[in-house]
Amino acid sequence: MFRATVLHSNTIEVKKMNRTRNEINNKLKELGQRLGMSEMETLKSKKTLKTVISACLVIGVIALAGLFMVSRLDPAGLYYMPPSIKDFNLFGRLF
Amino acid sequence: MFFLTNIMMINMLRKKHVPISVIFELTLGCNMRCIHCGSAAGNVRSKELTTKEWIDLSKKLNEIGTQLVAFSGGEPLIRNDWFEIGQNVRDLGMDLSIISNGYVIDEKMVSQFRKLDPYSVAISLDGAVASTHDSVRQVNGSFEKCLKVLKLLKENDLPTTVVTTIHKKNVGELPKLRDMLLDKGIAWQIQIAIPVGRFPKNLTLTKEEFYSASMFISQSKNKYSKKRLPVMGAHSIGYNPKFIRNPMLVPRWKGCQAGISALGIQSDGGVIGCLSLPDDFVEDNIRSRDIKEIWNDSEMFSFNRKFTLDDLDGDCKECKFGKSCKGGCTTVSATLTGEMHCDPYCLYLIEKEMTIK
Repeated sequence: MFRATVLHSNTIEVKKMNRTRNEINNKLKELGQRLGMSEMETLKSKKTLKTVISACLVIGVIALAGLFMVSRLDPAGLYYMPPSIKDFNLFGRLF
Repeated sequence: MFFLTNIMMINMLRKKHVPISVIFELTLGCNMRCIHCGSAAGNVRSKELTTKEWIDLSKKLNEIGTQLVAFSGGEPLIRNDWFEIGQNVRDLGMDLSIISNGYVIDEKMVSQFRKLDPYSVAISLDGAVASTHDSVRQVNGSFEKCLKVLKLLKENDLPTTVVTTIHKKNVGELPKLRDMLLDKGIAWQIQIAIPVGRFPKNLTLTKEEFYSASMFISQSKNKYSKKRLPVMGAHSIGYNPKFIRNPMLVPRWKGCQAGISALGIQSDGGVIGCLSLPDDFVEDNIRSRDIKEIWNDSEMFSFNRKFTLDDLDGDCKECKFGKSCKGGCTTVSATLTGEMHCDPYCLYLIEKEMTIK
């Protein structure tokens, strides 16, 4: 009886999650269409495992290097004024 | 032991505020009358700084740790002494960026750029077709001139950047602009126009349009390599999105840097945390007090330096990112809400609103 209740509530949770995910996808699709993005292109704007992992790697490298270099890694230069093409290389601002 | 001492010294240095990047508004005079101009540039300010004053200021900034100086305006290149001031910045060992509308740039000027070896030369491009760009800039022929200048800069191997300020009139042209900039080796910064200066409120993007534009940047970043399309959203486009890729260049937003590691100097000597901020935020003037003294005064830039969680307003008050984000861009927040720490154009907040609906 207990197991059945848990299973039932789990199913409800999963359904709820799926519904939310669908709603979000539909909304993103609608917003993307404004700039002529197709469904596939809209999906391309989303976070992926690859982008999350690469962001973690970049943070890790920057945190390590930050122990030795103080100011060059501060984001201010990147945020406060237009970037240089050099900023798009990982170590562009270091050397 | 030596290693530990070094770490301690570095930590001490980290805590100190250093004006790493400083924008010089060389003049408020401008040869264009762009509809989105936050400074409402056009006429020069009364009593703008002289060449000597800019040079002295550069020396002092260098002494307190400035590493990057950007020339802005108005249009900085209409000043006759821009090269002399720039040369001095470079001689002091600081990097130099030049932000221009490109209208006065010719081959002679490009050869001067080459001598300065700038960190970047940023040119504004606000539309993918002449009618849009020219109407935003209010100068006929400015689009054609802009494209010629971009070509000239690239031919001369200068680190070139395009800055696009988006609003209702041109946001739809982002895909076309992307096609124009693809594989050109030009960095592309996209920023939003906010209703300050000359920009009319009715042209400001809605939150949904803002989100669409952010999605476009994220999608472009995922679709193309940095080499093919080095694109980023400016500091007013971002803050911890959950659904889409971070449109900014750096991985994590650390809050507004005005008065922390960034600084703006108005053409009459006014000292302000960021040149985008309204004039109410002018802290002092380099003619009445030494810049080093102003910067090191603990009472200056208190909106950022003395920030506490209690300063957060609106929806940011309960936000889990409040401590690090500090409520987003101070300029956007102050302009749109009248409060300093609750930027409503926040991807995290918009996503939250989307899922609640």
